[in-house]
Amino acid sequence: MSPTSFTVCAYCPRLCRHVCPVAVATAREAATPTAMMTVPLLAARGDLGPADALAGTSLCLGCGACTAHCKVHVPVAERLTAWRAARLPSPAAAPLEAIEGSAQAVCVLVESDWSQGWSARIGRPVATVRTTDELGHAAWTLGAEDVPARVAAHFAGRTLVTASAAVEAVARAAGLPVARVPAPAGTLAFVTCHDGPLSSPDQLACCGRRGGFVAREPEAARAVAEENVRLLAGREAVCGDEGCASWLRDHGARIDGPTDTLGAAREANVR
Amino acid sequence: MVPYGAGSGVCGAAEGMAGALSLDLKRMRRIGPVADDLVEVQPGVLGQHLEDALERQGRATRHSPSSIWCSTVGGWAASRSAGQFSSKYGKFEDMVAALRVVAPAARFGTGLWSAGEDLGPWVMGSEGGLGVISSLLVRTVPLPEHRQLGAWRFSTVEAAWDAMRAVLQSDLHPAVLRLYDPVDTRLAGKGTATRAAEGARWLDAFQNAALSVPALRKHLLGLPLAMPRLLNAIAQGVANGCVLIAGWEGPRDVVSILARHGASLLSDGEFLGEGPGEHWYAHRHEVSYKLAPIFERGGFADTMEVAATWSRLPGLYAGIRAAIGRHAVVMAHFSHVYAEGCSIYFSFAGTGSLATYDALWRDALDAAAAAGGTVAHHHGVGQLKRHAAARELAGIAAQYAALKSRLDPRGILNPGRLFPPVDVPEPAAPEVEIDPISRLATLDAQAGPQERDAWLAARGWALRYPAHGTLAEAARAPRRPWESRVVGASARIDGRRAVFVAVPRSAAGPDPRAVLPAATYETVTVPVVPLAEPVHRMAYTEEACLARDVRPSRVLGGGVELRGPAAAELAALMERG
Repeated sequence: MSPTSFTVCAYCPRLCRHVCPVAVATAREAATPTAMMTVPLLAARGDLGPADALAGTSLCLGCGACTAHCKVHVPVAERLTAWRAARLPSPAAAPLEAIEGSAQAVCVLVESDWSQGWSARIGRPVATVRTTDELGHAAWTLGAEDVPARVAAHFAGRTLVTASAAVEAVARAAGLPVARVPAPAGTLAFVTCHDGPLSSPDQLACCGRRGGFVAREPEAARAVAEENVRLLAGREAVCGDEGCASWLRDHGARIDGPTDTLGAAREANVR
Repeated sequence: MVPYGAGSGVCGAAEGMAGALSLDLKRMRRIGPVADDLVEVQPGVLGQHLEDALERQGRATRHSPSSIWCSTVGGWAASRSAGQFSSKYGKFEDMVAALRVVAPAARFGTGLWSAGEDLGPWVMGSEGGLGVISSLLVRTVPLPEHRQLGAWRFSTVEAAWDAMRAVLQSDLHPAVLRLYDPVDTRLAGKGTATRAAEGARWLDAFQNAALSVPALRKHLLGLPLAMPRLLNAIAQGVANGCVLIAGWEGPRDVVSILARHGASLLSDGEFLGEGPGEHWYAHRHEVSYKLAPIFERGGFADTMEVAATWSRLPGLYAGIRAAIGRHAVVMAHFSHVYAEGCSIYFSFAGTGSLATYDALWRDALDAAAAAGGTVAHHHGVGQLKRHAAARELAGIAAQYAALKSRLDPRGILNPGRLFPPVDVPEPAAPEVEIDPISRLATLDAQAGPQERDAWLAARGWALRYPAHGTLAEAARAPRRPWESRVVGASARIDGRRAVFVAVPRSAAGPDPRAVLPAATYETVTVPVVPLAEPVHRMAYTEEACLARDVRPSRVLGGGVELRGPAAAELAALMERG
């Protein structure tokens, strides 16, 4: 990737800073997508060493809110992720868990088990699989090239049902049929990824837990979570993902009933 | 130490001089609930986040600068920002009801939070030189019920200016009027909805064409910009009229009346439909930022906003176009339109050294001053304009310095920015006269009301804002955000005359018209209305009218006066209740 692929952002007056959860939560100029997109240019000029350059781009949690907002269609998050991936040793994805059941549809469970409700709703048995790392999504985005192949082999002949945008992305890369369960409507407040049908408080767009961000940038991840909780201002919330809900609950958000029955709510929408 | 919001200012106010510390305020981002149409907000709140929070309560400021995604509320106040709907709602300084300010030697409130001397007009426009704004009380309005936009093509800018002026001076209160000059219309594709829909800003379009031919890429880009006079001449030669976008918003019944009469006054132009206006509205914050190829090749691209009364606008436009055109490719649009004048926003791009860039700015700012305009309408002063602004406001430099030494005795805050030493000869006294084009009168500020009003009446005019005492006394009267009550002034300060040229809503520092003691005024330039125009008088209070979003032309004892082609229908609307 040439340095010029970053210059549109480097000369932009930070027009996506208000949708970037990390920039909003940390209020740091270095955490704006614009600043992070300047890092590869500085590195190419020799103004930043490799370690500093990686650190400078590590604040991106890859949620893609900047990409979605960009009016000249620069894939900001994707470029940053790719740039980082090319400079990091490829991480390994966690081993894939065994599939429980023989049904053709497999509910991919990230945290809570909503598969029984889903099975009852559609009137057919479902198989389940638990994943601790969203089928290796974070590792894949950071350059672990074997993830889609492993997932394709593991689920061959099955249809995946998921509530997670990350799992959906991996499944699509693996060439598997996948159904993304939409989030419920008509509730009070929502925290969801930018590509969901709902908006987060003040377009914060991500809970702060996405991908490997918590491990990579724990302080910034915590700041994003706390900013979400502050913006929710005590309102009851619904999360598009149980993992997000759990993360936000740890930081004091009121996310109870609706999320615990999220599977049923999603089923109602899908049906 | 320089207060820092989001750093979107294009004149360099937040950069500070060498060795300065930035005081980043973005974690001061609390937004309170709306109470009595006011919202308390901290200075580090990003503009879009404020609007999002207000929208959930059915409210808005309607302050909509292009930078709303990347600028903060505190920065808006410090630099006297203007939004795209300033014609209807005023500039941000007009929306601020109160400030809390922390200075090295004092903490104080302004406006509604003032406990005595109101330093608000000094702080707004001081760009961090007098104190750090720690909280703001901002006026809000209901979200507009209805919006109506349209576009017209005029054969010349002069014809379009006449139409725009007629709309404003007929009390039709558009939210937006934006006229693109022939070059901007041609190159930016404002002429048709289809072209506009491509979102092709002129440099983008040019670059895309140039960069699509790899073998020519290196040369195509730099060559035309290196020959600005030629390209300016070609662009002017192929231009085909200029496009005006007009828009009204508010209650549906009021908008319907105002927009229909507005369209009638714009009918010398060819109606292009609603498409270009709707497209502009949908994309109004998408400022051009595909300029990297120019910057990478050592070129420059920049903008400059100035303003003048209607009578001086042609000279200002021609003068600055010529000044910039010697160095760069230039185009302009006219926006922030008021009854007394409007702003011109120049965009330019060129190649050359820093010396070329500096010479361009120097020439352009000199041209603005020579044409009787203000050097800043809403971008503020910063580094770029500090000398030109200091010349424009030289009359209050000593008062500013005295106030700064009281609030900031060690000169910590944004040193070296506003009011650098400049040599300005004492100006002559302005003549007492009427400017019928701009509907302004320059009058003796200390004259008695009977003598003054008789002088005006003998010439067929009356004060737009009636005053029972002298105009010097009336100069500080409360005003609505959209009103321009004192447009220009001359004063005798410490035995020396200062003249503040009549300009619409300058942002060249603090507003001298709002800070001068009444006793110092010699003349003031104020809005006037022709006596010959028919009016509708009604026995309603101003508040009753404003509750319906009907804006009286004048408030008189026992009622209000409506003026202009929509007056009868608006009066009937009020009568129907």
